[in-house]
Amino acid sequence: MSHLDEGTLTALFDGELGAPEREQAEQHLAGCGECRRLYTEIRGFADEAGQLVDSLQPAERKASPAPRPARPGWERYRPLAWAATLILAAGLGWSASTLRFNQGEASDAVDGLAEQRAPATPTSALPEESRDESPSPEARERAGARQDGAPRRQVTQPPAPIAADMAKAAAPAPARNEAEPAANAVGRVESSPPPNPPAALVGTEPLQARGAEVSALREAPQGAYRYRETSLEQAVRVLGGSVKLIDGLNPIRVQAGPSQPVPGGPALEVIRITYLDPPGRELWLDQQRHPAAAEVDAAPVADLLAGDTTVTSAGDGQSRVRWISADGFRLTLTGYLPGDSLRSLVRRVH
Amino acid sequence: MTGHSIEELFAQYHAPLLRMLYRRTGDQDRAEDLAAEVFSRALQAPPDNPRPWLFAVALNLVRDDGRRAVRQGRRLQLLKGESPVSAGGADEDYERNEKTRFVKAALSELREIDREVLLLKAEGFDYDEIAATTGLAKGAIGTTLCRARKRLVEAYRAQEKDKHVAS
Repeated sequence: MSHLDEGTLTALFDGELGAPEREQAEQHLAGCGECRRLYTEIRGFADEAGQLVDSLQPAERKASPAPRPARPGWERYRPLAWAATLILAAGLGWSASTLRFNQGEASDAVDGLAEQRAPATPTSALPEESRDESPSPEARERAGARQDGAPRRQVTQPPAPIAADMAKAAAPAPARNEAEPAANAVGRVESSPPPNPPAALVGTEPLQARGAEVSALREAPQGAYRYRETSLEQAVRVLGGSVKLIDGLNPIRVQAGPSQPVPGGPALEVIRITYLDPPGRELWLDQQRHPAAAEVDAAPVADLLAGDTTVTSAGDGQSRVRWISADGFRLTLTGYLPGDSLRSLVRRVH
Repeated sequence: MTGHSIEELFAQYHAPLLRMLYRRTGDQDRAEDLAAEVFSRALQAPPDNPRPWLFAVALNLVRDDGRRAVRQGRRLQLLKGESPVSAGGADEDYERNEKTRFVKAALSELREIDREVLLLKAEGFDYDEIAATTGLAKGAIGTTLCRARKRLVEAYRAQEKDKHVAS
């Protein structure tokens, strides 16, 4: 019998061999001095390495408590919803009594209600979050969640690492280049570009245009890009009736991103859906859709035409796939995966 | 989550996960942050087979965090960056321990996969679990462990030898 290899001897030491293999190995060791010497050496290294590793112990600190499940969606604001309901009921009762007892002044009462709804402060003086700059019906539709008594923004407090990612996502807004009107969903991903152009580039993406975009991103002020958490239902509404998902993966986060203009159309929010793949790596699928997508897609959108797929790999292991679907979604899938792996996932986006 | 609440997972796996992350990163604060992130992800995407899942996510986070740090121009202070005068009492004593520094330095010299396999084994993982966590074939675990242990010991001995030469 030939000598036992190090892997087998190590497995023997670790008790990982099945009964027949162990018996065979032990028989061999009994009659082979060279393998016994090697086994002794392996055992010595294993013992010493074990002691060295065991010597590294974290200092004892009071452990932070287990994370608690976040209350989903509007349930977080259930107490506020009760309060809002009571206030609304009281307000409606008062209005109704005014109308009932002052029929002649009904129109004035309605005007009065309108005045009550009108902002007492000029919108420009309000915090940015409080402004309603889209009074159109479509905008009110997009803001539907705010009309049911829920707060305007449902910003949860993520764990620190997630917060760091979100802060990164909040970084530079693109000072948009007219020559490259719609980076759309890609804009946020490139808010933290590698210092040099991507190491590998497959497809038709012009580097010059990307360079301009990257430099614009670097110069843009902080804080202009901010993603907020939202629900799949709201995402469907924003995207005009449907949303793209990755088959076989469960979303862990749904966010709505900054409004970005699509040529010939209104500003549209980007929907970002974050997933974990089986090994626990984060992937994020950004998507944006124009209501009249077919018309818009007749013209080139930035450097991407319908049917094109570009795969970009940065030197740090992050890859990104961009494409436009047949039904007019502009999509970007990004993650720390090889470009080929990401591209294969594109086939599962429906 | 199949049969495991997040509280149960936390009670069962937080300590070994934190220990593995500390050994892997050499930085207790970072290890604690990463452990918190692992459980946060477990909450979002409950694992069926929690132990390999939790440790695989932790190791992925370490790798991603390292890449991010390099990208941001922030160098990880695994070894050389440790201040000779550290912040707190117990930590200070601990970090001043020469053996600890040598072991950290020796670990940092291992290949990524060798280090991961070694640290998972130190947490009591069997070969099947190590294979599930790292993606290595089970048949390669013995060889990888053998190499990792030998290199760790040799690197540690080299540290001690350098110290004696210097002093």
